[in-house]
Amino acid sequence: MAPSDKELWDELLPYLDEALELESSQRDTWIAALAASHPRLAAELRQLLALHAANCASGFMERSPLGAGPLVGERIGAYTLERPLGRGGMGTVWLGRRSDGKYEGHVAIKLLDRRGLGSAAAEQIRHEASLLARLTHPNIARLFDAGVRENGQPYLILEYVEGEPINRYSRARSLTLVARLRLFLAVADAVAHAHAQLIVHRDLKPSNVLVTPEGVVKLLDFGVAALQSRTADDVSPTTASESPAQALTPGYASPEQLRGEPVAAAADVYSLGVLLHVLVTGLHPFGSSATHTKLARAALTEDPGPASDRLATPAERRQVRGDLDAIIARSLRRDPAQRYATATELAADLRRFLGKFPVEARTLTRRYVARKFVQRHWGAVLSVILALLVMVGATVVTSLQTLEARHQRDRALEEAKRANAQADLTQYILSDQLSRLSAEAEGRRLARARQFVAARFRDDPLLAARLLLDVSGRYIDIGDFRNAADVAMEAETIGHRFDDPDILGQLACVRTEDLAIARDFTAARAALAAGLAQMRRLDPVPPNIEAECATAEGFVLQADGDFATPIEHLQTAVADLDRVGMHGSARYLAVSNDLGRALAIAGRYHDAWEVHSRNVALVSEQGRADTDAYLVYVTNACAALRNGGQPRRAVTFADSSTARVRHDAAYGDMSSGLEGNWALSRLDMGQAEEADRAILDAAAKAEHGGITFGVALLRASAVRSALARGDLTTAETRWAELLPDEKRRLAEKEKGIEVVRLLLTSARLSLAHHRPQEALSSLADAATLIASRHQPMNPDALELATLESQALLAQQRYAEATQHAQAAIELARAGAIDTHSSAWIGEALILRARAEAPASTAAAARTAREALPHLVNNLDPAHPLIAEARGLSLSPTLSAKSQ
Amino acid sequence: MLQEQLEQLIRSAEQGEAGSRDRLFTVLYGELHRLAERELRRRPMLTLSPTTLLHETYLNLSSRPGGMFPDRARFLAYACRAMRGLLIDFVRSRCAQKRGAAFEITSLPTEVPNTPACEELEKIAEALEALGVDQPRLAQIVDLKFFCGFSFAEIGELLGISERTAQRDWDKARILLRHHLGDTAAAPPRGSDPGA
Repeated sequence: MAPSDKELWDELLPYLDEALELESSQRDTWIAALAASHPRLAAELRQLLALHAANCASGFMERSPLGAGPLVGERIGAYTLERPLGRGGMGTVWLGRRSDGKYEGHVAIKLLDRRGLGSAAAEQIRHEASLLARLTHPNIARLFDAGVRENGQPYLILEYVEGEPINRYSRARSLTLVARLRLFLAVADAVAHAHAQLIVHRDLKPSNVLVTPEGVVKLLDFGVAALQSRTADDVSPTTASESPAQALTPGYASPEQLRGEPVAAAADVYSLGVLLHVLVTGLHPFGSSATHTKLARAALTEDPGPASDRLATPAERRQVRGDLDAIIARSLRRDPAQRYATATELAADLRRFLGKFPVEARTLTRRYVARKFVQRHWGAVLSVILALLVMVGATVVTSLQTLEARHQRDRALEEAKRANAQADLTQYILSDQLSRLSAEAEGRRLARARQFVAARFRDDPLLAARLLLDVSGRYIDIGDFRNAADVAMEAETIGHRFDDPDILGQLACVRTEDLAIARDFTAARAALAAGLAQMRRLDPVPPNIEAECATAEGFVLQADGDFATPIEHLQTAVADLDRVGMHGSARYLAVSNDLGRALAIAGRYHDAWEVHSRNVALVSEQGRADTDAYLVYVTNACAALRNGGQPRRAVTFADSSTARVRHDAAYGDMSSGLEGNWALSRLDMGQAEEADRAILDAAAKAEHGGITFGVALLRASAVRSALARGDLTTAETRWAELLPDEKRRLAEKEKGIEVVRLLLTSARLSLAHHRPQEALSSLADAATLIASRHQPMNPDALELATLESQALLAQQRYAEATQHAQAAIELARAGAIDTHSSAWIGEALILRARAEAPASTAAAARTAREALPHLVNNLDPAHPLIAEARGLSLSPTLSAKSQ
Repeated sequence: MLQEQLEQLIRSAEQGEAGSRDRLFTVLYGELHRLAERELRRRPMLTLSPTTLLHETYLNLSSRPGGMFPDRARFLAYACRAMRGLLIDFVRSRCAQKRGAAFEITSLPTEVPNTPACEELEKIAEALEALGVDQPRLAQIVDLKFFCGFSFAEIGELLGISERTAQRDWDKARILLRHHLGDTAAAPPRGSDPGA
């Protein structure tokens, strides 16, 4: 039959119509019936219907000639395409609905750009999507299904959401700040829900955060970014999930994403931070009109200014300044470890803000520092604690005793260290998209965790060993006892298996420090010997173990009264660290600090000052002046200045070093050491009123921080400051408060610094009451204790000598008074940073002048003149000693004053 | 093309003037082609969407004074015909490229899986021409569905028929085309079955 036989066609077509109306099963009957009356037509129809069958079977012309774009009416899985909705960065989105009408509403069908995938990848996508599909939350657009079309194109079936991007929505309705924040909280909660299931969004931005006309927040495309990256060429399960550059949204992508690094929940926190900034200010943190390149560069290198600065009216600024600024800032930190770890924390802080509670973001620095700082090493941690004791020139012996109470804190710090490492581990695991499923999947993930630990903590085998124990525990959780045991053994015998003297030696030296703190010196010495033995097996000695064992050794030797050897070894250790290029590293700073302390304990304040101030400069250069470590070094430097006779310089140095950060409460309790030093320096300078207040503040802080030792010292100093103010009554009251605790300590036979302090303080009180004999009695006791320390240069000894001189003067025993004053001068000179400018030299000279005066005013005048420059350079101009010195040096006749 | 000319063209085409109709097709073809090039140049990996092209073209033309079609349905009637031409031309050029001929039209993704084989499409084009003579409405449905990607519901709306009728007409068109293909060649080998 010729196709151009139009008449025939005209006749056929209506029948064809009818035939096509029928169900295919009924057609045979129908044709048979037709054949009876119109055999020729029936024959043709049969042929045509056969063609029809062939068409349907082969899908003739079902696909567009381009083969690329899908057709309206085309089926994808169980759904039919209705019309295109638009094109996104990763593919086209269509409106669709279920082909069988089972689901009434519409769906969004997303066809991803990648194509040509093999069946293995398709399986992977289905698997991943099934995990994402488990994400059910009223504010998260559901992922119903996913798959791969025959042509290899992946597709996703998503909940269809009609809404406006959240920024446009809030602008259009002129929402108040609180309303916007509540909207944002809904977003944060949704993200938090996902984070709790270990799913990271990776592409949060306003176009993915819609608000329906009813005001319901809906998050789109959860985890799709990772799905997108999965479809990339490399679908090997062992690669960390990295974001391909084209899937990122500049301006919302976190720095680590921009760098292509593995991504964790904190990346979402960053994006949320940008969103929050936009919601609060209407502006992007780095400028709304910047180009993509500019935005990326800004995100990688700059820190945005406070959000409140971008607001127009003062009223608005007031609302936002402070806590909300801090929340935004914390979310936008470039280092993911400094941000909120998950959206949960961000939401919690925001709620606190809304509920007017103090916000955690502002104390970030301290917590962050506690984690980061502790991560380094035991030695460093102890240095921090011990530094607090330097403030009154405590000896190592006594400091070790008081550290007994510090075990709690050490343990907390250790926990923080592990927690930080744990956080790293969790972050790593979070960065792996798969949520927890079968033991098999978990096992695979733990295998990766082991690799991660091995790689990441190669430099810190101790920490690696402890983390491996954690991994072992999780193997036990999933019942994989074999792997659990393997990993545990790996951890515990990490050093023994390789007989690594470095690891074993460091382990031993760290143990030494532990034992020394616990005052088990026998065991400590044994551990030290073991550590040194391991160290000697190494040639050359690596700086790490050298530093560790030098510190440990210092602990033991100083307890035995050898202060010189530790200095030598620590100096070598520092030089060696320098030589291998570790100058300025945390280890270097810690060992340096130990060296400084050792120098201070030996009375070499000049050298101690040099070491400590160098540390301060280093940390400042590194831009880490807001860390607790910095505080420690500043404290130590100040203490060195003060002990070396330059209290005014100590105050100036402390002020200038902490000028920028001082008013921020970020340091918290750790700053009580510095504040105590600062306060005492001012007291030394003669600024009794200010010192008094500051001492009480510092004491309160120390108490709050559980630094019991510091509290005791400061409370004793408070008595002194009251006396300096001339307020005897208050001094007595404070003394009375102090006594019960101290009596207990005495009863428990603690030969602590507190006892010496008590005795000296008691002596001062006695002198104030004009009871010199009583004072001398206390001073004699103190002298015995001090002598037992075998310390070459001891600030307590200096104080002792000056008080003795004063007491003797009060008893008019001028010759002895002169002697003791001279002893004080010698001590002061020995420890002076600058022998031409030392407050202690000056003070001691005045004491001698007083003792000389009755015999020879000329001699007294000479001495006083010698004292004047020392005093003027280092004390407050209003200090009574200066006036006294002037008086003594000028007037030939004077009545000897008692203090 | 000047506004008045376009207006005139539409009017005479509506009146059934064959020459005007062809000229209108050419104009529309030009518009579609221009748009397609622009889209593809912007995003090389783009999958060309006939619907978008049509939509844009319609907007472009409507925004010109005098470029109004009586209604969208009329526009689509012409435009889809032009779209057919465009797409067939495009595939022809790809086929030509495969055979080593010069590549003229804009670049599209090199991987175009599951396209009708080049020769097959040529034949379909031919068959469609023939169908257009005898059964213009069926040809139009092919244009709307196959080349322009409309759903049966939309086609029904455009042509004023029921969805079911549109579906049936599509089936019929396919049968006729297949028939034509069968007539002009030996039974096509299985492998070259378009869309298989």
